[in-house]
Amino acid sequence: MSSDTPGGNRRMSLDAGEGEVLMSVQELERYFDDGISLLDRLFGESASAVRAVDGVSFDIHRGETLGLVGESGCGKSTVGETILRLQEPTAGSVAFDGENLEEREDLTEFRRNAQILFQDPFSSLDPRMPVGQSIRQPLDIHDWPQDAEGDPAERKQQRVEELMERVGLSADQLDRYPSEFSGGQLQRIGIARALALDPDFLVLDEPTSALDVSVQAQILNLLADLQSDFGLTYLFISHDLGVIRYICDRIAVMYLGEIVETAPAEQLFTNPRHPYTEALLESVPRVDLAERERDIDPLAGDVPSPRDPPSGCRFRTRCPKVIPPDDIRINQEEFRVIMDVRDRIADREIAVEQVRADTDGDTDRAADRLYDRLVDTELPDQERQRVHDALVDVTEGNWGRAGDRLRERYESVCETDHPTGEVSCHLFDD
Amino acid sequence: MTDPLLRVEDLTTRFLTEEGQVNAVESVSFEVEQGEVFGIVGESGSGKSVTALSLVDLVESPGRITDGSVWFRQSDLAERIREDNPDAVDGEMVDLRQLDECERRALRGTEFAMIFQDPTSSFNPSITVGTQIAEAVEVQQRATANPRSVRSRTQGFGLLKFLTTSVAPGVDYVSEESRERAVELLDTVGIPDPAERATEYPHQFSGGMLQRAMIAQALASEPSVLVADEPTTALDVTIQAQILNTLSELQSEYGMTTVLITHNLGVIARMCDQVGVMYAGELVERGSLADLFERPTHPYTEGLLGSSPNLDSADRRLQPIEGNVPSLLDEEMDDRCYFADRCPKAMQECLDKPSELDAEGSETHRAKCYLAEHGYEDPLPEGYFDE
Repeated sequence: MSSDTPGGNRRMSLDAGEGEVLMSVQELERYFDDGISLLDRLFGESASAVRAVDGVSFDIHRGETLGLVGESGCGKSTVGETILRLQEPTAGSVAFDGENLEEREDLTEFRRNAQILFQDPFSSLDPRMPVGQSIRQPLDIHDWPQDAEGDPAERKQQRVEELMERVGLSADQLDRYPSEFSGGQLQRIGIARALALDPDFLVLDEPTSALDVSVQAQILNLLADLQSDFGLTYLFISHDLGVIRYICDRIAVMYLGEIVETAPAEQLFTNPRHPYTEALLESVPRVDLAERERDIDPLAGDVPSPRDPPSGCRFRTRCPKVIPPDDIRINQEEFRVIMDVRDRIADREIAVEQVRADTDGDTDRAADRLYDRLVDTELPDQERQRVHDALVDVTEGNWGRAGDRLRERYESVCETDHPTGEVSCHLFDD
Repeated sequence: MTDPLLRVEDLTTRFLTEEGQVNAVESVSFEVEQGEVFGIVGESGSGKSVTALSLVDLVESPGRITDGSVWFRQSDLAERIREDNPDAVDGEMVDLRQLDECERRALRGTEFAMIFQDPTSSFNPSITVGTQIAEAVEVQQRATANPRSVRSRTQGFGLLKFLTTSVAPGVDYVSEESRERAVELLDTVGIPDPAERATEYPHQFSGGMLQRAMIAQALASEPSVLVADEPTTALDVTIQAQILNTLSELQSEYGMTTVLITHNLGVIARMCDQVGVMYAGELVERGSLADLFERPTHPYTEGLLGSSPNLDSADRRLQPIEGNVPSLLDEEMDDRCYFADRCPKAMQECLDKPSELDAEGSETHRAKCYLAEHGYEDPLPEGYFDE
């Protein structure tokens, strides 16, 4: 295998984001409402769909690699499957090579041209089928070759052997079964199968996540070589930022069903703009001696449920840079604490029974206790009083009034308005 | 100089499976100083997790520790053991492998604690998190009160166990103090509103929160040695960063000695003082973090570093290690360097006999490699391994 097509150089020559658009995705949505029965709809309060992908737009240019990065559950794999029509989108449009897929009656041509490589090589090949047959299957299904030259069976066999060798395996392994190969080899076979029909576009869904790091590097180099040899266009889905940086020209960062930032790879890594991108990059431990001294301030909390995502900016429940209203003088950390209290009140997630019992109905003392439990910074007097008042409401069981009391003063643009633009964050509003 | 807290010598663990004998851990030796973090890094199947399990004596059938010793420094224990079993004691060190079953069990969960990769499968789904941590507290208390008591479960046994499990399964036997201690522990590991969370069940916790709860459980006994097997592998990077920060804080606060198993060199860089690299069941190189990152000696260590994508620069091409991890079946393993097939600098000598872990850059930096010992002599012809 040749090993001298550096990913870095390729990126220089193809200026990010230019050239002909091969795939254009507009406002793509994919909701899952399975498991919500009629009874739930009639009586349940939580009869809402999982909004796995919620209004995602991006273009992929011919010959480039677009990276789609995000944490588990952010919807990145669903995007990959939905643009290939392996799942039907709930809304939105996907255009491939200038043509809207919605309007196409026959997707056969598209399916030949756009292929996918899955994460787990052990479960994506039929264990009872020799690997040669697995590679040949797409050829059979699409009646390859379409011209009538020569004996079709012979040409197929030739094609399969050629593919096998192209991905760095030997043609005499074709009769073996998947169990006789290692993970890295199986992933090579998966690549051979995806390339069988000579497609233009490949979705690579975490292609190296199941592999060890030494083998991962082999596969990444192979994918880079194949791209330059065949002029392939990739959508590369991964949670691993190191891998993404190595292979991608442009990168889109996803959080909770939305793309929060799209930027050329170099720019995203040297100058991340969205607070989530920043936090994500900061979290990755570097393979470097200075790593121990590096001060990381990790994001607090967990990703909210995609059934009921936060209003406005979806990242606001964890964002260290959430924007306070103009008329309040308060520092960032203090405002974050108040916002966290508000989130807990909105979710009715504060346990009050014990406190109430301990304080014999003295709501003021009960609120004091809750305050100590929830607020671990020194707030300015005025804010302290207001939060305390809200907690008195909480101990009285009056969640709604507590919420209103705080919203009145602390309502942030991050919760009222959904951010738009290249960087989906109000800090970048003009 | 005092003895290290932990000295592992020639630890060997084998699995007797239907396909044959698997040499999962082969003659592994290392030392861990008090308060240090020792990292073991390797790819899947390199034997790093089995090494961790062997340390705390949790290898399950068909696996068996067949050889080697695990010396642990604890003067009280040494005093007590010396009378019955003088062979198992060396100064203040005690060889855990020579203790009887109940002594070893008493150490587990008190002096030794372990956290696992997958927090969701490490908790009982039908008992609240608080109770499960309180149980760990009780285990610790009983062990302190009566070091020789074997029974550590809170349910009792015999007729009592029958009654508690079948007649009144909802009753659990943890004291109010243990419960309070559990809440304190949850607070220590950074779980917000711990009193409330303690009454919840594992499924109500997110992965990151549950991993914190598992750390709290491990801390219940204030262990001398914490063995952490891929503690962040199942988590997302932002949560991983939280957990690693928590672990570092606790590490410096309690002065725990930690053995950290991971496949992620970034985690190694963030957490460890000393590092061991495992390949095919053997420890092929060990040394300080700087030794390994700046002066890697074994070609496998170099390969591992070369194939890790670097987040801070995209300029270099990845340098993969060609080939695949070898089989660990005994009958398929010759007596030689197991990395030779993938090694860019394999020599005739590598195939004749195995090297010892003694090629050294310094007193503490050692590699199991002829190349490091005497340089590149008598290379194998090109394409030697291509059948």
